[in-house]
Amino acid sequence: MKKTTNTFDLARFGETVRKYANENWRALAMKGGVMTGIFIITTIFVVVDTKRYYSEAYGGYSSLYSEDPSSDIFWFLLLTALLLFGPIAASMTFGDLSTKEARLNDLTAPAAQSEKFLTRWLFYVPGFAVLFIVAGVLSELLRFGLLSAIVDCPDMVKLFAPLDRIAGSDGVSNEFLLTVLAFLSLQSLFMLGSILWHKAAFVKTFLVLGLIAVAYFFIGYLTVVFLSLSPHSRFELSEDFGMIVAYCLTAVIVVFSHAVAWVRYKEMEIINRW
Amino acid sequence: MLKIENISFGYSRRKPRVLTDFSLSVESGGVYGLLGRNGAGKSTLLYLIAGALTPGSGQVIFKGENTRRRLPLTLSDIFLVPEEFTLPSVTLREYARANSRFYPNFSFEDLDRHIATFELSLSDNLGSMSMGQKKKAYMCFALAANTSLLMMDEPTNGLDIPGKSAFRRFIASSMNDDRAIIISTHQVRDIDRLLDHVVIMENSSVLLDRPVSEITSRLSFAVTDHKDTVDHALYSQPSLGGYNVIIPNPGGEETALNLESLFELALKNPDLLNSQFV
Repeated sequence: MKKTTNTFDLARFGETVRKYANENWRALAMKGGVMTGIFIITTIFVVVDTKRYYSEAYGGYSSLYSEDPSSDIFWFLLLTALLLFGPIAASMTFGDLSTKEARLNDLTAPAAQSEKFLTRWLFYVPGFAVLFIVAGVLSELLRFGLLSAIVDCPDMVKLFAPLDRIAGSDGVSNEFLLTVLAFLSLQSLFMLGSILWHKAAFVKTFLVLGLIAVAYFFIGYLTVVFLSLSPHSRFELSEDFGMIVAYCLTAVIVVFSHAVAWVRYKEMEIINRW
Repeated sequence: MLKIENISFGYSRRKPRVLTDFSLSVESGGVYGLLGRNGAGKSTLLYLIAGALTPGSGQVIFKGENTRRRLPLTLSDIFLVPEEFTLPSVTLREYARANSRFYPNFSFEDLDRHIATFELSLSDNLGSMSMGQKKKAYMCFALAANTSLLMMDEPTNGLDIPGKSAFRRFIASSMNDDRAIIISTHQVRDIDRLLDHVVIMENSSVLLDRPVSEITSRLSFAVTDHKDTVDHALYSQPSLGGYNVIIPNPGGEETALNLESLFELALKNPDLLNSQFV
């Protein structure tokens, strides 16, 4: 590699990514394989559970969203998986820095801190998203293939029917958008948790967020009580305004989490002072 | 090349500081032996030099840059072989390919030569090696990186007898005027003939910081059973064949350095030792 600079260098960043992939491909493949395996097993269960709906003898099936009977449950499971596996993956971003030796390796590697930070982020944040999409597509292909092969009315099976839930005549559905915003928020918070706690990061982050959520609702309850608000009072918010609030809140959470994670990573030492 | 300026460091507020107002200079072209008792702060000092720890005060300057900034160009010219380390489960060839790109002066010819000295192979998997073999492999890579500053913490721990002999050979063959090597160790007999400079630390201060040539021209190291010599020696310790003694060397004739005796004298009576160099 030719002489580079002390600031972010794209070529050196590429080498850092290649080094990380070279040294961790087994662990990454195993994690990806476990998630894909869970997707496949879940898909098989969905197929077994819903195949009876694909029959004239059942008396037909109607869905608000799709003529494909299993697409609703499959879509719900996909969104649940996104909100579950995304944070799990993000909580592994800095998980291998749990030992002094690993931190020493990372700190003394001759790359910019930003390059090393972004390398990990690349694998566990957008990298996860790519893997999720691939696993989702494979699962959908499996669902379509299995159902087409075993049901009485294979014409009812529609490939990529769950995607009908993403967009309709009014554009991208708010349900999908809110799920993605929640995913981005949770992912960034769990990534922050993984740099704060190198060990058991997912559990600790989950507990802290749970406590914050409990505190939030408790404060809300007290607010209602002390302001003598009727439990039936509500502020009228339009759906568009609600979406704007959701966008802003997600942006704040994501930016804040990444900024704090970056500062924490930059100040990291081989010992944990806090 | 390297200036450690008044650094203080403690692992936590509840524990005593490991280093207090510690200063040291290292010039290129020498092998420095960093000696001290357990807990003296040798490893901590190496971590501070590598930028892996933040001093509470003071700074470590390597070629004009503060190492705590962890700048890539600085890190690519420093290599630390720690006492304990982890290596990925890849072959030595894959490891060298992936990591050599970060060291501009890395030489695969040097790597081939070093691994031949240690009887290793590029196709050996690092994950399945014993600790001693991993240490050999890591040291081969470290030397092949050809950084200006190479630091090794207890490098001969875990090495077998041929390994220690090979280690001495390739340290000796790797030295040049542009490079400094700092070796921190308790195993003084493994390195005493390699050193150009001796630094002895105790209680976060430097007890002795002298070139070996100056030490051996000012002091004589001998084994004797002559009672008068023993009684008037700066230091004496019973051994096979009589007593290991350190005596002043007014004639300036160099004798072989006995690092163990020197270390003991430095700990017992540093003022007496340093008075020999005034």
